[in-house]
Amino acid sequence: MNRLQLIAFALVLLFSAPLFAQFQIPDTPSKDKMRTQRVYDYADVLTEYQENELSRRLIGYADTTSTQIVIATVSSLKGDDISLLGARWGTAWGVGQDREDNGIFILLSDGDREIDISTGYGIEYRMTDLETKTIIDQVIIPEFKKGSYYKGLDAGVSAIFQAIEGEFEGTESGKGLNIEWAKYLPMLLFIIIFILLKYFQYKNRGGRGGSNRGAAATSFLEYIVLTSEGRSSGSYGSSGGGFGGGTFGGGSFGGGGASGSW
Amino acid sequence: MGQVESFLTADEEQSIIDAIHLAEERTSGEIRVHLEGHTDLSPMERAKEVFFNLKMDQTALANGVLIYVAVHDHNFTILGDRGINERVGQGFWDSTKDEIVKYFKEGHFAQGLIAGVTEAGKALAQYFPIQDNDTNELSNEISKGE
Repeated sequence: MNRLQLIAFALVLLFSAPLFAQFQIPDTPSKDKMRTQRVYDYADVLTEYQENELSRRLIGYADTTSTQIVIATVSSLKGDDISLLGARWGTAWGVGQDREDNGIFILLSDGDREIDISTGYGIEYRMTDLETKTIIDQVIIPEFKKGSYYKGLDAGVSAIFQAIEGEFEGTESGKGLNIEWAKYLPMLLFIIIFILLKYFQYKNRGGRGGSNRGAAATSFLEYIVLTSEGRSSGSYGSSGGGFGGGTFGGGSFGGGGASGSW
Repeated sequence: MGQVESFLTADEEQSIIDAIHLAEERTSGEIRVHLEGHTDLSPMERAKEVFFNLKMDQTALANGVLIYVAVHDHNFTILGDRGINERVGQGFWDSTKDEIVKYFKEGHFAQGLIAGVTEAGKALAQYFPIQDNDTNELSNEISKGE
């Protein structure tokens, strides 16, 4: 680079930095390069041997399943949000978008100590956002904390393969159960509070009338019987629409639509 | 209960189910209609919730389309998943919405829903043509809330 180029480069940097304080995605590698290289270690956190090992595994997997996985490491996100950048990058490079949009793009930032797995639309039904989060938290991060990016990525890749085959389970088997329960919790709480409220109403009324504890308990039982009868007679027309207020694991809705009124 | 139940007659309901069936014969996409009385949320937010509750977010190609109607509120939303949305864009939803509004304003609820289903079906068939091994991933029944 001669001096003129250097100055021009510096000027470009100077003017573009404040305007676009965002990460510049590197140029898309050629198709041939993409075919043989799946790991782009811009942060230089992997040895050449490790890069090749990971690349080899990812290429082998793509050959058998058509699912394309690419890993990139950077030294800094330049203030960008890692998930947004990951999604943008994966799209810009067209990872796995040839046929079914079943690509996976893994982005690691050494300086920010963050990692993101972004999945193509065609793969999301095989690997949920919850699963990717579990893989990051339970498989990848622990290895990173022990000090090896390579081991974390390698283990993460294995977990992703398992997830796609539908065989991935979090290390804590209780996790899945908790989530199942969490869905019903608001409903359960609601029922309990409702019953308790009604119970105290009855009890108060009973108390004023001077009746004893036993009487209150009877009316409480009666109450439950009454309500359950009331429900069954009035609830046809309800659907399996779930308990509402459900959480969707923070997954964003990428679709679109329009509302109208009449 | 009343208003949701009387929103469509049994015959009308069947004709909508037929329309969904017909539309899905030409596409791998999935179309559903959900009716309920009232929602405290915005119709769009509620429609998204219903979309997830009906597991419409789990189609293989992200090409589910939901028409959600809050009968008491006189509100409805047509909602499409990522796959279809990426291809048709906002203009499609707006024009289909307008089409439905036209019918609904005159009290022709069944025709409005059928028009919506048909429009969605056309778009889906264009971008997600039926495949040999297609499975009907979701029920064609109209689902109803209270």
